[in-house]
Amino acid sequence: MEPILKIAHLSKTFTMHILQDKVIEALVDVNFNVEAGEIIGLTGKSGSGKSSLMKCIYRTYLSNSGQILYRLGENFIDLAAEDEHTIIDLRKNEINYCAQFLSVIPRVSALQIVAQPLIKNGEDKEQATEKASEILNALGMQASLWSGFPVTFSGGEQQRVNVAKAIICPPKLLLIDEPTASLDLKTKNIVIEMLLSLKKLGTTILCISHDEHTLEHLVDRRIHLEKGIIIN
Amino acid sequence: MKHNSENWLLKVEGLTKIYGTANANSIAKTGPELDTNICPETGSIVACADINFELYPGEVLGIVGESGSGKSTIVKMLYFDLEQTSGTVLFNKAPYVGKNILEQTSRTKRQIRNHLMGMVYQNPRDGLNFKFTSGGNIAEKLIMAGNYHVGNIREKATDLLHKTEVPTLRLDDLPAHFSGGMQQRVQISKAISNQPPLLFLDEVTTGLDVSVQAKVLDLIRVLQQELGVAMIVVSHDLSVIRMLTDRTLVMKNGRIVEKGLTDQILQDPQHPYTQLLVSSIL
Repeated sequence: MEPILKIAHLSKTFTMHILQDKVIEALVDVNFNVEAGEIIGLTGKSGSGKSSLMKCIYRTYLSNSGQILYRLGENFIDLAAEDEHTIIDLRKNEINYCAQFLSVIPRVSALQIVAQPLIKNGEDKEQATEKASEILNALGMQASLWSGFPVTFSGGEQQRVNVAKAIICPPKLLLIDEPTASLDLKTKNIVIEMLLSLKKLGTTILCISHDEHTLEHLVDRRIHLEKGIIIN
Repeated sequence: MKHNSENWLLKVEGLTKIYGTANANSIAKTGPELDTNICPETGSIVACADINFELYPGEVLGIVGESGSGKSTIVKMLYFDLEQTSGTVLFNKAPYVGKNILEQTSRTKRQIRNHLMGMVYQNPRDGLNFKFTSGGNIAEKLIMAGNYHVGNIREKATDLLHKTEVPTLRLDDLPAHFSGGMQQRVQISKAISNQPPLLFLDEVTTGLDVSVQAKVLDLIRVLQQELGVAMIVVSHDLSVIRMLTDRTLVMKNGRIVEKGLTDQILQDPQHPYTQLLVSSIL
């Protein structure tokens, strides 16, 4: 196996100009490699830097120093330094990020939201909707909710839409934040199964979780963060 | 996969608009660091200065900033509504490749506008002729883009109204008799009727009530995907920017203070002004 991701000396600080230039250290000299097809669990207390790490990889956060090398074919590119349009292109089908909470355009139905990534990638509308309903069904979401607007859903229902939308188009690298939070055990297990089947399709997964059950059944290895530093 | 940085659609270089008589210091003595766009020596107003950016085919670019920061000035110059003080705009479409489109004859500018651009204004009265019916308004743009067959025009107009969810029965009604949200949808129909590769949206949901806002935003998003049109979205509303755009320029006092991926601008803003703006979201 060859690494798909090589993170070297990654540091991230926030300078809060509106708070007298207060500096917050989120990540301090983070180093690790991820093999293709691995599932890594990112663990650590709230505020330890797990989400910051993911967001640096996805380029929602700008890193202060270090490299985030991502394998593209034969070569590695530095996600921390690539131009924005390359990042936009990568986000279309290489790297996907699934936030902890669902954020969507209001007045768009759950089914449409889930079908969206497929339609964006040029799949026929009807087929995309068909696949979306299959996934929602598998996640145990009752069909009467599919045409509803997720803003009005419960936490667990929103979470299912969130996960469904993240995995409908399997990316090469999936960054997923607390995929099983606010789900019951049965649904948790379904989500775990789905992520494991993505792995079989070749997807590499970085998963933040506080849930011991999820970690135990899903991940190949864990990376533990404390105050922005990897402790293993 | 790696992005080819040479196939941009629009390239803006050094675009500047100054009202009044400026002197050599007008640009140096205005801007975000000095928190003003009024030149202290001459009293001239630097609406925007030294604006540089590129737009790629199918890309959605947001321009955000407070009132008076110069965001609308930029799109108005790009759409030839307003004459620039200086600057170059290259439009990578035959036969205009390599030419500064701002320096063309008014006839050529009209042609570029009619065939390659669409504009949706904040106020429907700026984008629609209220003496014409909604169908007539769309027809006007179609005719300017070279469609002359009346039957085809009617069919196209009906189709566009259908696409933008305006009841097609109202094809022959005056826009003055429409609600604000519906007027905005007619304006969108008109703007996209010539299937332009480039569309400008200037505060299109400002002033609409929230439920109508959501529908108009969704309409824009769906049309963008279907048509693959590149868009410049001007808004002071960060939620509009978040929902529609891939990249964002942040403006203050007539300058770009920050540019980046929209999620980065919203979640990891670097400039003090952007941090203030983002921390003020309701």
